[in-house]
Amino acid sequence: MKKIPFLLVSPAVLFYIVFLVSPLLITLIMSFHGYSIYTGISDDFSLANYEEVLSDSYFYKIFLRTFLLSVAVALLCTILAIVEALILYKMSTFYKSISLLIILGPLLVSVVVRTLGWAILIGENGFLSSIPVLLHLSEQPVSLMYTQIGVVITMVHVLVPFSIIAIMATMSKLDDSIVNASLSLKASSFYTLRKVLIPQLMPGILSGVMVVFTLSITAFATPAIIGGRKLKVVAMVIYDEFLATLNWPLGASIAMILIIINFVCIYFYNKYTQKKYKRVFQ
Amino acid sequence: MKKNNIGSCIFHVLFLLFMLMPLLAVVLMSFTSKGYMAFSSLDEMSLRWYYEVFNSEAYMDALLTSITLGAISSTIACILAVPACIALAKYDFYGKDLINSFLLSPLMIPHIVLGIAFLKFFSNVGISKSFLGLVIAHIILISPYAMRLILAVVYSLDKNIDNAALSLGSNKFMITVKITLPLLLPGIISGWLISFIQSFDELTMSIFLTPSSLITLPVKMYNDIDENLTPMITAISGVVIFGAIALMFIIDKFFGLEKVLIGKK
Repeated sequence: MKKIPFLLVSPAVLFYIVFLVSPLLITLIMSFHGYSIYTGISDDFSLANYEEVLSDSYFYKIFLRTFLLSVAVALLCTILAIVEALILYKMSTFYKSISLLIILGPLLVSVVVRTLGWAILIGENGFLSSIPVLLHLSEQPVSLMYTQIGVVITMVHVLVPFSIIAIMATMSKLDDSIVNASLSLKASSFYTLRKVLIPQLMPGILSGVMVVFTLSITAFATPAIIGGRKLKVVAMVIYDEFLATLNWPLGASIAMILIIINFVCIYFYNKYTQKKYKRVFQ
Repeated sequence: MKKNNIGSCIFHVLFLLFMLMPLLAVVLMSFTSKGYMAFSSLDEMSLRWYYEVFNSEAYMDALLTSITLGAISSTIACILAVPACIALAKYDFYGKDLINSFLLSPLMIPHIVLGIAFLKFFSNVGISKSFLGLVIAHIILISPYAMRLILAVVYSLDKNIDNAALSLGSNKFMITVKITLPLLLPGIISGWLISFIQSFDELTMSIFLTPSSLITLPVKMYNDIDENLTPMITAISGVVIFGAIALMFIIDKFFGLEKVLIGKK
């Protein structure tokens, strides 16, 4: 009888060990190898790739750009999602489910399609680009294609449903009577929001921040299409090393740095929320 | 609880508009009669580009590849996930939490990293740029989505039903086949659907693994946006959007979109 659960999990676990753990280990090992254009990947073992990535100002600039982009996207998504979630919270069930269909629906459509939509809107002849002309603010249409602002707007559109999902998940556990108690004790609605609602939603808000931030620092499609070659992010550099320059070991070391940053974020998030919000999770 | 005020209503409408605008732009553009990326006026709209895209062998092949890939990999992902979820939810055993997090771990690994790791691994074992490789990679990518949904459903099952069957002389195997699996069916179907969507929409990992003869739809679209942008891409996007809307109503009617996406019980 004791063997049954192990038998049940073993197909999935074995599949993961062969097809997830070993590819990642091979990539980790490759990141320590050398590379030259003439001889290809060599078998030596050194930290040279990591030294190159961490000391080169070219890579430093790209990591910094990716980081700042992700901070901006995570902040904007979180602010929008908190406001929208609170509005949804007060809505009748009918309007709420229609609104949720509209907000979460885009998650079912590929990021490529959603990014294409923004490329149409903010391109040279785009509807949004001509607004400054209509408002007599500018003679020429203002295109946000290939600008950092364009990338941020598109990424917020792509990722804001995740913040909303995270906050709504906490909201469904919310006790209405606490809010009503606060209001009936003559607390203003802003005070109730600040001292009662937001603290209770904090685990959801934080998990939203973490999901959006980790998805932003690793994003590829949106920055590649909207930002273009001039505004490279980390994922695009990895892509170039693997499919253009063919320096796989260097690309692998950048990928490993990215995965470490990802894990550090998740680790600190878990540690912080478990310590601070232990009661909420019980 | 107070009602939403005017300010909230305006914010809400603007927010919904923000969410819908890019998709509306794509759909409007797809009905253009022009030969380049520009909107047509209402009376000049046509299905020209839908006609072209349905007659484009490259796009129809890509659509078929993505559907086949999604169907095969979600089915295998569910076959792996169902027994694992039953074990995790119904039994207590050593290392249970660890196995649980291990099986959900692909969610924490960036797609770009998975892409290069599979590229290297598959070229080592000699199946680089093959359909088999693509299927394996997609199974790893989507399994956690199937697992999360199915696990939630197994946890919500009433244990008394099992006990009732046991007391009536049934055995564990019969309980699994006759009671647990039928009760899990809605969970398995929604798990399958959400994994299918994840697979169908995936670009970043697949871009490293797609063979040039069997290119997936998102990769095909990405390449064309980069090199050869015509309204044909908006037409195929229109097809994808209408498909997603249909799927959304199916999911919402049978399982509740909130439940599938937010995980509310």
